[in-house]
Amino acid sequence: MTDTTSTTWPLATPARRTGRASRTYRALAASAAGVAGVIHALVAPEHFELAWYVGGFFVAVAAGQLALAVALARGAALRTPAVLLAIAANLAIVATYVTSRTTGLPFLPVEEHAGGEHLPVAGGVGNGIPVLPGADIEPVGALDFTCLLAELVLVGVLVAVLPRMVRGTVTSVMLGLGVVAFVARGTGLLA
Amino acid sequence: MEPTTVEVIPGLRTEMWGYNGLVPGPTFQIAQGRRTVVRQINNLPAVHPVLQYTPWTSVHLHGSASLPEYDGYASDITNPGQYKDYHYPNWQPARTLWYHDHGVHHTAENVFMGLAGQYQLTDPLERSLPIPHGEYDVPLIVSDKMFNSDGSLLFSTNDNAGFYGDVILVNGRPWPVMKVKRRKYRFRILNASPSRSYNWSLDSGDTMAVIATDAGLMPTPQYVRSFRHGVAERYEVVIDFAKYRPGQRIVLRNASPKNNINFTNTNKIMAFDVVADAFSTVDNAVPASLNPGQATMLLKESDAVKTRTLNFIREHGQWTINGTTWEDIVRSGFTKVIAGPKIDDVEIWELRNPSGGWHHPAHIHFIDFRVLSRNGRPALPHELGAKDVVFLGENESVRLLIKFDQGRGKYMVHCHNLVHEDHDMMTQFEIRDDTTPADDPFSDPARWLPEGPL
Repeated sequence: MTDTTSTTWPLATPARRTGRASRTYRALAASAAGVAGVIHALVAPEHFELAWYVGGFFVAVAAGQLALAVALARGAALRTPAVLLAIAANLAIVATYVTSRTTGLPFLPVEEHAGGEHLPVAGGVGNGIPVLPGADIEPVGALDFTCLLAELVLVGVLVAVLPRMVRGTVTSVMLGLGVVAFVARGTGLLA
Repeated sequence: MEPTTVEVIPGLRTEMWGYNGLVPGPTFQIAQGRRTVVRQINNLPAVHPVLQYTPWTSVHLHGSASLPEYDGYASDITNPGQYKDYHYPNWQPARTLWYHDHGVHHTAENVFMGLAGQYQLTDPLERSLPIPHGEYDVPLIVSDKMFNSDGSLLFSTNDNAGFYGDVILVNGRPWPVMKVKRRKYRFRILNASPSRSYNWSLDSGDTMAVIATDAGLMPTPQYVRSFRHGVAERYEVVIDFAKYRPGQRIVLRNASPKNNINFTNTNKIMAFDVVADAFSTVDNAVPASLNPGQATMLLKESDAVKTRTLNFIREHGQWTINGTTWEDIVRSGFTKVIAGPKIDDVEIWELRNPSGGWHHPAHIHFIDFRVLSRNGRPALPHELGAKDVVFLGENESVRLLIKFDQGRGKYMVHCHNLVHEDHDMMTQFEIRDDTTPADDPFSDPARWLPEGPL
C-alpha cells in the first residue's frame, strides 16, 4: 500500500514508472516549469507599470516556477504534498490567466485598461475616461499562450506521477472545478 | 443636456442623453446676421451608468466661425452641475451646421448617447432660390446604434476602430418610412454617426442633385447616382419624386465604403412612399446656378503662400496627426500648435492617410476650405462646394485651399471618427494676427449652477 504523505518522486508504483520514464517526466516537467517561469519573469517589468502588486504577482509566480524547475532538474525528492501544492498553484495561475482573457480581472487598475494614462483635465470633476464593457479583457498573445501551454503540460505531468489513489482524487476535483466553471459561465455567473 | 428615455426599438425603452431631453436635439433655424446665445446646462448624471465616467461636455457648433472660447474646445469642459453660455456670430453664408459634444476623452460616448442636433443658417440668397423650402426642406440626421436585448445601448469601440451599430437611425427612428408628394424635396443629410461612413444611392438608380456641402450652397448643382458621405459631413440633396407613381416605394440605400463594420441591414437607410396628395409647386426647382459667388470656391491655388502636410497616422497604438496627439497639446499647456497661419493668408494643406486599413473624416475647425484635388485628380463632383470636413479614404491624399480670415486664435483639427478623436487624433492650429490679440479658448469658462442671468 502506498503512503501518500511521504512517497517521493517517482510517486507512482514501480510497475508503472520505470527509471527512464521517471527521468523523462522530470525533464518534461522541469522544462515546462522553466519556460513558464522565464515568460513570467520577462513580462514582469511591464506589469509593474500597471501596478506594483501586479508586477509583484508576476515576480512571485516566476520565482516559484523557476524554483520548481530547478528542483525537478536536480532530481530533488518531491513529496506528494509538495506536488499537490505545485499542481494547485499552477492551476490557480491558469485560472487567473483564463479569467483575464475571458471576463477580465476586477481588481486590476481600471483606468489603465480603459485607455492608458492621461494627464489631468483642468477643472474636471471625477474621472472622464469611459470604461467600456470588456475593456479589462486582455488579448491573447503568442507569449502568454505559450506560457499557458507550458503550465498545462506541467500540471499534466505532475498529475500523472501522483500515486494512483491521489491521482484519481485530484483528477476528480479538477474535473469538478471545470464543470462548475463551465456551468457558471453558461448561466452568466461568470459573465 | 439631460437624460431621457426613448423608444427606439418598439416595445423597449432606451436610456439616452439629449439636448432638452430630445434625441436628436432640437433643430435651430437662424437667419444670417442674428447673433445667438445658447445656454448649455449640464444636467447629466455625475457618473455614466454603464461606462463609469464623469460626463463633462464641451458643445461644438460644427460649421460656425465661433470665437475660440465658444468653439467647443475639447478641454474647455462643463462638468455635471455647471453651465456655459455659447455665443454664436451667425455671419456666415447659409449652411447646415450641427451641434454636438466635443468633451475631451469621451466625445464618442457622449454623441453615441444622443448629444447631437442640427442648426440651420439661412441667408437672403438661400431664401431667394426656388429650391425646396418649408415642409419640403427636411433634415435627415443619420446615425447608427447597437442595442442589448433589453433595449439599452450596447457600447463597443472595437479596439478603438470605432463605434459601429447594426441599427440605422434617421432622426432617431430606425429605418423610417416617409410619405412624399410627387415633387422635389430637399434633404439636409447629416452623418451624425460616431464612426460610420456611408455611400448613398436610390434603389431606383436615379440621380440626386447635390446642392450644398458643409459650408452651404455649391456654385452649381451636381447630379450624382451615388456619393460617399463621411462622419460629420453635411450634404443637401434634392430628390425629385415627380417621376414616380403613387404607391411606389423608393429606398435610400447605403453601399458602405470599405473598412466600416457592416451588419445585415446597414445597407439600407430609409424609404420614401410616394403619395398622390396635392402639393405646392412653389420652390420646386433646382437652378443651374446656385451660388456662383461662393467666396471659398473662388479662391485660387496661386493665392496660396504656404503648403503644409498633415499625416493622419497610427503610431504606437494611438491615432495621431503628424505624430501629435491632444495629450501633447495638454502637456504643452495648450501652447503647441501644428500650424500657425497668419490672418488673411491663403494656404494649401495636404492631408494624407498612408494606411489601407482605415479612413479618416478630417475636420478643420473655424475655416471653410475648397478641395483642390484628391489623389492628384480633381475633387469628386459632390465635393465641389465649400467644406469643413473631408473624407480621407484609404491611401488617399487631398489638397485643400484655405483662407484664414475672419478670426484669430487656436482651433482644433482632428479626425471626426469620434473614437479616433478620443484616442487621440486631435491637434490644433493658430490663426495669428500681429495687431489684434486672440481670445483664449479658456477665457469664458463654465460656471456652477444655479444659473446666472442670461
